[in-house]
Amino acid sequence: MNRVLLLAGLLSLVACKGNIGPSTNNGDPNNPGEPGGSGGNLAAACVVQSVLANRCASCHGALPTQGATMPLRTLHDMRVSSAMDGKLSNAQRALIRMRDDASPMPPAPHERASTAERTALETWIKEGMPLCNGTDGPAATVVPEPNLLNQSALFTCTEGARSDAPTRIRRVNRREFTRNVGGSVERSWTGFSFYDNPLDPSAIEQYSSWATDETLDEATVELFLPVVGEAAAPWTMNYPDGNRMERVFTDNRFSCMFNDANPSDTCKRFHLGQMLEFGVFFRPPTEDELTRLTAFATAVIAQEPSYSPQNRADSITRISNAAWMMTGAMFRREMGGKPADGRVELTSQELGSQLAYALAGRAPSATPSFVWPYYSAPLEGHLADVALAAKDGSLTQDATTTALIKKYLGGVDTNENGTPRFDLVQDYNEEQRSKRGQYWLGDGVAGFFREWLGYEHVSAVFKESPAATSRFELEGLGYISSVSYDNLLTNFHPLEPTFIQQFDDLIARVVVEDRDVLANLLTTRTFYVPSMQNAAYDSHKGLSFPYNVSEILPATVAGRWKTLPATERAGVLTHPVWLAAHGGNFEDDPSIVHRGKWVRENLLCGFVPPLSSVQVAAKVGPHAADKNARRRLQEATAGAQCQGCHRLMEPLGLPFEIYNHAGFLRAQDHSTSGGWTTPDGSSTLTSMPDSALDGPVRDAVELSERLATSPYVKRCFVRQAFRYFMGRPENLSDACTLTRMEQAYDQNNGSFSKMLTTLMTSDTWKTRRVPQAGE
Amino acid sequence: MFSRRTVLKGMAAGLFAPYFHDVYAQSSALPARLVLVLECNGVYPRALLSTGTRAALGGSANNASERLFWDAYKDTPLVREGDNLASAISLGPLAASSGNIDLVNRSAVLLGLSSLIAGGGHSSGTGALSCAVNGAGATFDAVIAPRLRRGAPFDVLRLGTSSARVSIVYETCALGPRKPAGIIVNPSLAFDSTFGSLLGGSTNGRDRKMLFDFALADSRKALAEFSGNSNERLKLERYVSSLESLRTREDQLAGMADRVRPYLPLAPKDNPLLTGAGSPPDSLKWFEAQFQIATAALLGGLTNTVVLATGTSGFDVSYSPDVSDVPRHSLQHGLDAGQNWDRVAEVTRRHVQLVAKLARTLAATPEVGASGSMLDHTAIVFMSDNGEQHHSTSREWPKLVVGGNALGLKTDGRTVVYPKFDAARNRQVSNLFNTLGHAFGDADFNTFGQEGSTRIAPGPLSELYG
Repeated sequence: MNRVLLLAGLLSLVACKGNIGPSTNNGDPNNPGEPGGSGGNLAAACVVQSVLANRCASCHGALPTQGATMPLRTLHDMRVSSAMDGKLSNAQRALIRMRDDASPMPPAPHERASTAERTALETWIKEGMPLCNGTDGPAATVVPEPNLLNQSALFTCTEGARSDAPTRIRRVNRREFTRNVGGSVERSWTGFSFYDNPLDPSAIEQYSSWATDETLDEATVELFLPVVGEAAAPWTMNYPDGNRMERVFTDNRFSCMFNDANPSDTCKRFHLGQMLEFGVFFRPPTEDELTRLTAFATAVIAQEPSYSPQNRADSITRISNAAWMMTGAMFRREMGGKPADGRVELTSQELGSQLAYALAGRAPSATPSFVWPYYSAPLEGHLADVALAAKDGSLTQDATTTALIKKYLGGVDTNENGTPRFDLVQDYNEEQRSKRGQYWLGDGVAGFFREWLGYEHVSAVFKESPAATSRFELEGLGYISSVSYDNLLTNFHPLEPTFIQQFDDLIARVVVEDRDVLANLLTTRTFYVPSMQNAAYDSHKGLSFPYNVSEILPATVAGRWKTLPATERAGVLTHPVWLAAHGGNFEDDPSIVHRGKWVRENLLCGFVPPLSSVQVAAKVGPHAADKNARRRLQEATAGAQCQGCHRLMEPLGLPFEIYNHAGFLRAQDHSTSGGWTTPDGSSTLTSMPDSALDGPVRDAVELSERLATSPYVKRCFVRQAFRYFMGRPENLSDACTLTRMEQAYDQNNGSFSKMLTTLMTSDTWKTRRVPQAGE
Repeated sequence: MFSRRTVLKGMAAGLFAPYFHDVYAQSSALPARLVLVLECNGVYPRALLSTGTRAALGGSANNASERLFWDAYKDTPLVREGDNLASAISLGPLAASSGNIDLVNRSAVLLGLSSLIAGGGHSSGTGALSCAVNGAGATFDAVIAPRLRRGAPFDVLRLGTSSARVSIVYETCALGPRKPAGIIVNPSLAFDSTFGSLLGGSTNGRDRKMLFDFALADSRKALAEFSGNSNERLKLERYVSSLESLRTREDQLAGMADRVRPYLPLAPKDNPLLTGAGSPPDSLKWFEAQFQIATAALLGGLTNTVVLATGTSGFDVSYSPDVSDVPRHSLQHGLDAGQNWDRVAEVTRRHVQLVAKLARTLAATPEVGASGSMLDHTAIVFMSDNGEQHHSTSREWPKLVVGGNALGLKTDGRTVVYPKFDAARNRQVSNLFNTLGHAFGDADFNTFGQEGSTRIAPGPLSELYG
């Protein structure tokens, strides 16, 4: 999360030393001012500083150890909300624990904090947690968990208020790098893949786009080098993994680099300039960047034992590796131009990059792939018109941005180049693409829905007996269901689109239709269901069972769109992929918790303390014939100490008990007598943030339909979109932008594209705040 | 304005995990190493139960069809010194044989340790090595590696196999809360990333030095001109520090090349363990290839901490037909059918065989700067990532500990059976890690693990240490 205040925390340590200034103090947190020492009469803040260093730092360090779950080193650490109790700051929680005789902090056998120290902490909290130099320090506006913010305040715009998000840089992530170099994000068991790069987004953050702390550590660089070496190949006239850069063949100005034993500076600068602009930076390099890389290239070429095509290719690879190690390659800039009134406007290049990554998950002019017989994009690269608009400055005009959004957000397949789903050329062959739904979304836009709904990892959630308690098990089709379910995830025996792809296609349809998008997502019954018409193996013969469909659907695009019964499904939360992604391993596992937690956090933007804060063995009891998931969970969590958190999740998760852990509709469930009974999805919602949601609920179908009508849920959806596409959590200074996004959505009949266009043409999108001195 | 050095030194930070480690890198006086080997499908108590201990326990322990026999556990720890560990169905590789030294008297088996906080199921994720809820804390390897590093180029090597179709997975190890550490599950990539600098000779070394020098100059320039706030600045500062460390490592590795080269395994393209592994790959072959890399890295002094995890982030690994013609998950779910239990036990036995091979190699290598062999200064822990069975309850975590005699470990051929999970004198997996912390020289290493109020007792296991 934001570490704006870390430096401030450091400053406070320096100030604590009284007359020792920054030039002579290294800011060592283990050497704070001593209470009652030579400085004498130190403020409570300085005493607290000492307490932290002497009593807390050994466990609550930068890398918490010995069971500690959070660092307590800086002003920021103390001020932020406790993960255990969002209403309290870490400082307040620390005071409670220090006074807790039953479970004190520091824990035994360490010496407890003295009464004076605890009093100092209490005083300091009451004083508003100031720096010990007597100032308030930077405003503590940063809230680590956006779901702790008041939603109503987030949609209350004070005219003239502008976003306080500062300038920043963002490290390219795994998927983005792969796309930029023309790689596929699908892979087989063996062989090289650009997707093997180690640039995974942080596991801490909700969306991969945030990149709040991402950088490159030693291990990441080491693992990146073997991968990035292959990215040089197009510039050496070789093609790995199908990625192409035909300009090297078609433009004879490149030939000198391959043919001359001692290429001139002009020759090198051309080659390297093109490499940086269209293969590494995806923007024109600065003169200085190009000059330095050219000098490096000169040194490398001079080391060739002799001139040969292979030696030159090796040299170009070394040069490319060096280019990829440049900060301009690994970090996207949102630093803007010349400051004015404390703000900067993003440069045209920065706007182009921001737009391209947001919509298409790759850089403007990203390298195309060649998958016989098609190129995935024109030879100029993917989103070449974004690159052009960035270069000629037209991207600063909203009309240009709007047109590009319309082009790249998504659409209906038009058999471009005479082939279906041209957007998937990089990853799938023509036969696979021909079975997909006709609606498509840009990689970036699709990524939002995948990450928001959290279903991309579905294949990693193991399912024991996927059809358990469904009619298919009762009908003796448990084995068929199981092997078909595995095949839906792995496509080991390819026939139909995978589970994830089926969900992708449903979402794409609703988004591209662009009317009442959220409500339709939550209520649509028209699912993209696999056909079993051409089933050859057992692993094909139950492909549509998770949808409770046993009829043989036509193996056509139109035939796969199937309207499911109103009593069985309503929208994405009743889709078997979402249910499986947020379900347990067994049919009687506490999927209720996982699903309820998701709804609370992602549709109601509510806060649930993380499990890492709960130091108990949070698990249900053994499986038993007379206990269904509902009963197992209730036995484990009925206590008041559990319900503090579980009341936030369980009422919202219980309605999904009409489905099993894998998303199959249950035909029966365990009864208390040890036999079977009718599945029960009933629940009662109370104290919902939107009172219209309160009341009894029959099952997940009714729950989804109710959620779809809630303005509160809609606002949460707007917030989620903001988070993903802006690449950061929202805060109160974003209220005007959020308000306008909501207005655009409402005024255009629930149009997602209009909402997104409003964001991407907003002041928040186009400008940043210049950091204050010392921030 | 503070310098980058000042900020780094003053703040350490999760952002700076590698450098934070470095601060404490020199804190262990005597040579000491840790190898954690995880079988990520459960390790059954029966597999590690010697015939003598079986008889001593009596009751259900004598029923060979009972893989769990908790009702036979006593109310106080049962310590059986001089136990014939090799009589256990999966511990045969510990026995002496022609050309192989006896490892029974260098080993200890621990039964009965619980870790309910880690959760069970198919995998406890990082819970196995953190004694915490999955994702809630740093794993033991990450916590202890700085103490063991003693200037080695790599703080930890994390290698494994997986049924996931990726090269790096993130399920088993963590640098901190929700901060997973990657495990390389592709032996070819592991080989390249571990030995790449050593293999290329002087030309490769020169190339890498030039590369890092160029990148360093670029990143330092970018940092000097950077106008963002401190958080954004930290990203560049950390990158600069990474490059500085890598550049320094190049010189270090260059100086170690002659020392490491004799131990290097075959290159991936020539290694039959990889070329003949099939598709999907035979997990045992790939795991052996990872052991080869780990062994070379330990012998060559490239690291002092290793994690080897088979079936991590994807437990449905495959084996060669002579072991099993069905993948691991199918084996487990048909455990009572045919020869499946024997096959599972055989897989565990083969994993122990790899442990034994590593141990014997270390035992044959004199320790530099201390008496005894490298094995005397190396603790090898073989365990599961979820507990006592495929769908575990995490009530028991059977452990095999090999080596580390010079560290004070009572690996003298004993079996210790602790009271079962709900008994007053039960002990937890965190106590084992506390024990290792003490053995590695930290006398205050008593509370690793996040059991909180459910911690039974802090500190080391007296039956294993002291």
